[in-house]
Amino acid sequence: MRIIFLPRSQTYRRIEIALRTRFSAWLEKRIPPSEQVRLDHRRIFIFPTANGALFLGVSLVLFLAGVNYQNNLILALCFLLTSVFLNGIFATYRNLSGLVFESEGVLAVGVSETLNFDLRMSGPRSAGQALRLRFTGQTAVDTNMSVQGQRVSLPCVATRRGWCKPGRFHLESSYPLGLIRAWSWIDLGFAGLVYPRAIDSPVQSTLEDATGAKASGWREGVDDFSELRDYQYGDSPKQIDWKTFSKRGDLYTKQYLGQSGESNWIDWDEWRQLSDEGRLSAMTYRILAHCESREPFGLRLPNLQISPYMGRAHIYRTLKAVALFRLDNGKADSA
Amino acid sequence: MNKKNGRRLRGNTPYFLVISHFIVVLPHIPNHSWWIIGLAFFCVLWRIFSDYGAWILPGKAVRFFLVLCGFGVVYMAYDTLIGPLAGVALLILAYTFKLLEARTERDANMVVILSYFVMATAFLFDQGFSKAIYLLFGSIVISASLISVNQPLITWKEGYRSAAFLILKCLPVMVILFVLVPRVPSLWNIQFDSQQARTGLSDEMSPGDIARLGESDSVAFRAIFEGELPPPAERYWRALVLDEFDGRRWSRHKGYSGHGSEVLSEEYQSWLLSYQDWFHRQSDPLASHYRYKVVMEASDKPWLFTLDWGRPLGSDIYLEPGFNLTATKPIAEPFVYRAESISRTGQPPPEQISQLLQARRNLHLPDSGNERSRRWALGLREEAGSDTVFIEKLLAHFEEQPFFYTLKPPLLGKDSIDQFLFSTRRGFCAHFASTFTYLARSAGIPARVVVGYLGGEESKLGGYLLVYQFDAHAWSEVWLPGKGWVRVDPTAAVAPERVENGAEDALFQRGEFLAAHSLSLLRFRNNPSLNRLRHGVDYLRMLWIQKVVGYDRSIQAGLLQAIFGGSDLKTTVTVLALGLVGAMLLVFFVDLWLNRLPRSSSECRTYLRFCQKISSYGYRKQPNEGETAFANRILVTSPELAETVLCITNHYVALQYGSLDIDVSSRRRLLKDFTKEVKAFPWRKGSIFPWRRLARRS
Repeated sequence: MRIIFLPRSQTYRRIEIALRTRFSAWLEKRIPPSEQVRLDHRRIFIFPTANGALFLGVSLVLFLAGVNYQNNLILALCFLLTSVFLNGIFATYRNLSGLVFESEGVLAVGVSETLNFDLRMSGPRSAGQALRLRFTGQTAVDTNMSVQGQRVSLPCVATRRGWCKPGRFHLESSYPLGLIRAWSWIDLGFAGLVYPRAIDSPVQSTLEDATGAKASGWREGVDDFSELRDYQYGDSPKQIDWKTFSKRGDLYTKQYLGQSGESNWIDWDEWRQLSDEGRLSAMTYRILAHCESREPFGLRLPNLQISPYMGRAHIYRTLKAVALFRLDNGKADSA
Repeated sequence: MNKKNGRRLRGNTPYFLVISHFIVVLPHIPNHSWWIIGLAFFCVLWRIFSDYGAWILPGKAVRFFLVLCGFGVVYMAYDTLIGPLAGVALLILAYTFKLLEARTERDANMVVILSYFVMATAFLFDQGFSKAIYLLFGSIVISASLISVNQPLITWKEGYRSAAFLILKCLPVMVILFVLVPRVPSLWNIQFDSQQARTGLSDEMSPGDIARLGESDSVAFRAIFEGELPPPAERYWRALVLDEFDGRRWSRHKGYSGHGSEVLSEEYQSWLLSYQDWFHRQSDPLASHYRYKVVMEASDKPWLFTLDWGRPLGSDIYLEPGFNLTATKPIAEPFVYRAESISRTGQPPPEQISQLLQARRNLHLPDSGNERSRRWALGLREEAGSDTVFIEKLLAHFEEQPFFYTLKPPLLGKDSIDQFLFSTRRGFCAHFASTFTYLARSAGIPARVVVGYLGGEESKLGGYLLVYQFDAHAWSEVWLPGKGWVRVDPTAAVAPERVENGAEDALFQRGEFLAAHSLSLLRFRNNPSLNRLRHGVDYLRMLWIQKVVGYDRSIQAGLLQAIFGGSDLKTTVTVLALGLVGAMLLVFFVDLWLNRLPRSSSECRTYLRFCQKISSYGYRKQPNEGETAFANRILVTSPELAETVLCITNHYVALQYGSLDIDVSSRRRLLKDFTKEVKAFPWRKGSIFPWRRLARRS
């Protein structure tokens, strides 16, 4: 009979993974994800820190000294320290208890940039001192809740395009004496959109045949007047045809050549030489450039077409389309 | 976490640490050599200078050198590196070095937590009430440092304020723990003396010895009687019996040098039984029976004090064959014991050793020396015809001849008895007792010297006897057939007021009382209010010794028995748990109640004060009215107030709504001006009790 021994590290790893999974499942039940989480006794964990252990050790030594030297003063000091410790449990607990965390949303960022998940803290007046918040493996944020509804941005570096779901963040505080640490794992259902890294890539010249001479001339100039169309809310006042308005009282917007719908398509097929991800990066670069120059544009992906338009919502829609292109988790979370 | 602990110290934290170091080392100063204290403070100075940026913190090599220096200094001071005192010195230095090198928050946390312990070691030696106050104060200072390390941006005021509140909040739980945590007996036996010289009786007596105690105004012990106090002439507190004489010095017979094997001997046990038996048989209506509790100060000596003829009530105290009480070990801490005594009884108590041995031991004299006195005594004995008459004649001699009772007798040479008896004739009680005993022995009467205290002042508070060191006294006992040991006090013959009114009166008349202590409260004992103050202070001290320092297992058991009807472990633990929960809930709710309202800023409170004052003029700020609008309304009708009201309002507006960019010092100045103005703003003339009217209106 052969006994197969797993390598030590692997055994430990498996055990660790099993434990972690169990712990997560348990946490999921105990502190279910929610847009708003209020900390209470079910959600706060509390344990002495290393300093707390040292403090208890000193109390113990004092106790022994007091007993052996029959010195009531030293015993009294020992009991005072014990009392400070017990009081510390309350104080540390109360510092977290009753705090309410609400998700405030997050701005979309590109891959390898930092997503700043905003959250809003409120709660009892004296609570929320010396807090430290962090997503696992990310930079920690130290803060005090100095005003009600204070905002905190929790950083999380985006590694992949798509929905970034950092999961639970860790909140801890050892206020006021550093002897006892109270902590919680809070899931506010955070999800931040991560679009592909923006990379400027030249458009292949062969494309001109496919989409016409002006396909690449998307920046031909804003001075070439092309046509008038009906005013739409959000159009720049500079482009309003004021002369017509003074005559007829109707608002028209001047359309210039550079903005004409047909010419401002960002097309999947423009970068044939690139890989899928490379194309997405190039498209992202274009979208962001349009965002800066405030020009309308449209987006063409193999499975999706977004007609030219401008404004925040449009840019978000296009970035989201690029970010979630051919991702499994795209559909489920887009809601 | 590591990152956080490894963070450098910020804000005021280094200075918080330095202050708590000072507070921790301060009580150690009297116990240790100045070299050690000096080294500690030198390191702290280094720390301060480097925090100011003037110096740099020591590197590894320098630190190593400092540690060597530390060992060297301790060895130099104590000739050893072990033992309690050297150990504490090393601890202080280790703590100081750790402070010197504390750069990160983790180091600082460790230093602060250790400092509680280092402070406590100063109180191994002394448990006085003032020390307890110091301990409390020190805990606040150290806790403030702990707060500062963990909240580096806290201000001085906030830090100490919150530490004080923290300790205050912890007191109820501390008291519960102190009273109810089961007291375990010592795990191992440690004995060390406090290395402090204490005034008190010693087991040897040379001519000038008791006189030295006569100059001390510290309390020796207090006796709390159940019932009547004994009359002044009965207040002879015996501590030791001295029965060996070498021509100059009286000492104890080696046979009872403290309790030891003799306690276990059959002889001793049977004597003890017969003595107890004798004690129970006393029913003489003329005899006086006293039961008392003695609350004594630390003496570093094992002997205790009792009236004649006494016996201990309680354990750990023994009766010696000389009818004096002794503890099993030196009294290094204030101590409480109970005893009872029967005096003026017709029947002498039984003796442990045979009469023959007794006589031989108490007749022994040095072979040579003091010849003249010896001859004189023999002559007097022949003249007297009986022992009793001899004693009377001897006392009469002291009374009639020009003998003087004084704290400052002339020094005596080799034949001290001769010299005193025939030439100097000036002496303190030791001289008289010594001479009398010598003469009695010379005349063939067994005699010995007893040292102890005579007298005691009745405390105005608590009605107990307060015995001071200057009450120390020496007298004689002679053994008369059929009567046993009889007390004879030759000092009483010379200075009867010593017995009736106490040492302070006898010495006061001679202008010698506490001559060195010009500020001692005892010198003003004719001032009733100062007396009350002195007695009050001592009463508190006595309560402290009895209730706190002396709180032990038996008292705990008694307390539990009295309140909860049981003192077994189960009751104790139940009561402890309930008490703890109760105390913590109490603190919790008090805390909640104190925090129920937001604490308004200082300028807000001051402005409210202004509103109170201005309301005495009939102006009340409406809730919907701004400060400036309110001021304008006042101006319209009371132009005479215009200047001050405008000034106050403008300052308030600047403080409350002004720019946040204003720097701290100018803001502080503004606040100070504002407070001063509001304080100076007058109530309306003729408005008596304006606050009462205000209360009615609101």
